[in-house]
Amino acid sequence: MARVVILGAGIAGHTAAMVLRRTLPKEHVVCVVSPKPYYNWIPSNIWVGVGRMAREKVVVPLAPIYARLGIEFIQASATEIHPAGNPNHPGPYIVATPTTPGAATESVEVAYDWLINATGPKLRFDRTPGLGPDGGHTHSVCTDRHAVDAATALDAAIQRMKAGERQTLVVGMGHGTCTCEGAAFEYTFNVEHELRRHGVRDLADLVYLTNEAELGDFGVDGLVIRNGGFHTPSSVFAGSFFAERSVQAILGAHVQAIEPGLIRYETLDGVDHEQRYDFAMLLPPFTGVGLKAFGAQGEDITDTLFAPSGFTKVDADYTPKPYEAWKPTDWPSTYRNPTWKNVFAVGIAFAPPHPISRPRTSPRGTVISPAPPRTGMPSASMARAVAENIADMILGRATEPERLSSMANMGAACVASAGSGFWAGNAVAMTMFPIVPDYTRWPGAGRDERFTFGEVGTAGHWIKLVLHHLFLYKARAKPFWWMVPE
Amino acid sequence: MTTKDTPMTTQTYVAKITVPTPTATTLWMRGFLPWQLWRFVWLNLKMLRMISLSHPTRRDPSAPKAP
Ligand SMILES: Cc1cc2nc3c(=O)[nH]c(=O)nc-3n(C[C@H](O)[C@H](O)[C@H](O)COP(=O)(O)OP(=O)(O)OC[C@H]3O[C@@H](n4cnc5c(N)ncnc54)[C@H](O)[C@@H]3O)c2cc1C
Repeated sequence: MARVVILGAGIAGHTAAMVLRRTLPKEHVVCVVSPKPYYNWIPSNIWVGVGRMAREKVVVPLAPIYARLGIEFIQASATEIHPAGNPNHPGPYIVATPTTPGAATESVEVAYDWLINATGPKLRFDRTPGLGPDGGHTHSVCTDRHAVDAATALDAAIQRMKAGERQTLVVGMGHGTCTCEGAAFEYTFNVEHELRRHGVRDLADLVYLTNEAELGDFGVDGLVIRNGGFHTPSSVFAGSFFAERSVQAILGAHVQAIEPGLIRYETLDGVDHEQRYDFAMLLPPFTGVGLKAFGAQGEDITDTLFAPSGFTKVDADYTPKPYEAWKPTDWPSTYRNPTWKNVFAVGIAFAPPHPISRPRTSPRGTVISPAPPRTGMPSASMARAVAENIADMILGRATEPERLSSMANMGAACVASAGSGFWAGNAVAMTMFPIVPDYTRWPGAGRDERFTFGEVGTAGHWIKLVLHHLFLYKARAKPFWWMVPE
Repeated sequence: MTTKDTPMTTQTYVAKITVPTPTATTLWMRGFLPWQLWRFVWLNLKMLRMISLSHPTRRDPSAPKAP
């Protein structure tokens, strides 16, 4: 009998757990340790954050699904990994703090034979003074609850506009090293749509503030999109949408501090600026969730498992090198820790070898460039590949991970809705293949132009709706869920 | 200020228009249902193909084992 423990029940962890349970015979245990009792389909938080979707529509309680599938569920927050065990606990185990309200909070030890870390990001609002909804002055849509609060604050701003007051709304990135620019882009245009829907667009100054040096960078160094008979840089494609919707953009910005009504930021040229706001939704930078690792004698071995960023070290090439020397093969393909061969990390939890966007710093040395995104589709794809590899090794079908799932060989779709309503909704649909550009295979653009395209229209909105329903169907493990592709 | 609300003097025209903006026909096509239905089918097929290309590859048996 083997015990596979999965830390986290987000897009990556939930996918891995379901695939493992479906693949492994019942005598093997699949156990999920996660602090929240529910799964959140984060991409639809955008709609919650503008008040167009109820929170209940984007969350799914986990306990009934796991009970039905035969997955053990421990509602707890992992804090430590002991990959070599210790004299009192011979095999590898993790330590977790239960988070069920009212239950004992004494730490529990959970033994494992195989471990998948899918704990996603720690939202580092603390990196920018005044950032974030908990004690700061700005809003977020990173969690379902943040999105509900953002919607309330946005509605208050809309009511002030209805009373004739001009408002400045700022959406974007709350630090120079943020990732997830696609989410901020999408939220910007959903807000813009809401302003028009409420008839107050003329009273709003909508500003997109980002660490991207150019519009359309999206943390992947931009794309060259096939669109309308042209190879169009995403800076032009995205810029066109900003111009069309009269959204101002502040580029190459590192937010230094946020005060009530005022954002202080530095731009890539090293100059300090201020931006006034009445409503702001600024995403935080991400790090790993801060798990610690200990050896058999209790010694701290965190650095064998985790990079300084807190993300898990896997089979990537972490040798520091300049942008010109970056290669697609630097990116991991098995997501296995090189020291502890039964430990894997998927989704946002794995440590990328380097950014994808060109690194940039201001003359004052401030890093202002996007961290690499690990969006939903690749997170789920790598989770499935890792789950199937582990199942093969448990069942003796393989001795090594056989499926290779690198972001340099994987595409991503970004469908940014820009309005709601079945018939009148609009979305910017963009796809790229691969995520990590390969200038040897595709000289010039670095990506396959057949699958790197973008367009705006109601069709994209329908795709976004289909994705919402399909992925929540899959998350609920309804019949034939496994046929839904990642 | 963006291209849309820029007064059309020659000077500002040259300074401000840096990106293409959609014509009335393009805007109309973005919401024209028969065309959008076709685009929906096309986009789905393209994305499915892209997803199939993204499936994990098998390790080359002759390649050296992972470190
Ligand atoms: C607003 C927004 C919109 C987005 N839109 C899109 C989109 O349209 N398309 C797209 O592809 N991607 C989108 N993304 C990105 C996508 O949401 C992420 O790529 C994806 O959620 C990553 O999955 P994950 O499982 O790695 O992390 P998460 O989904 O964050 O899951 C992490 C899990 O780990 C748990 N956890 C945390 N700490 C611990 C701990 N100590 N112990 C155990 N468990 C722990 C969490 O509770 C959670 O269950 C969006 C992101 C945001 C913020």
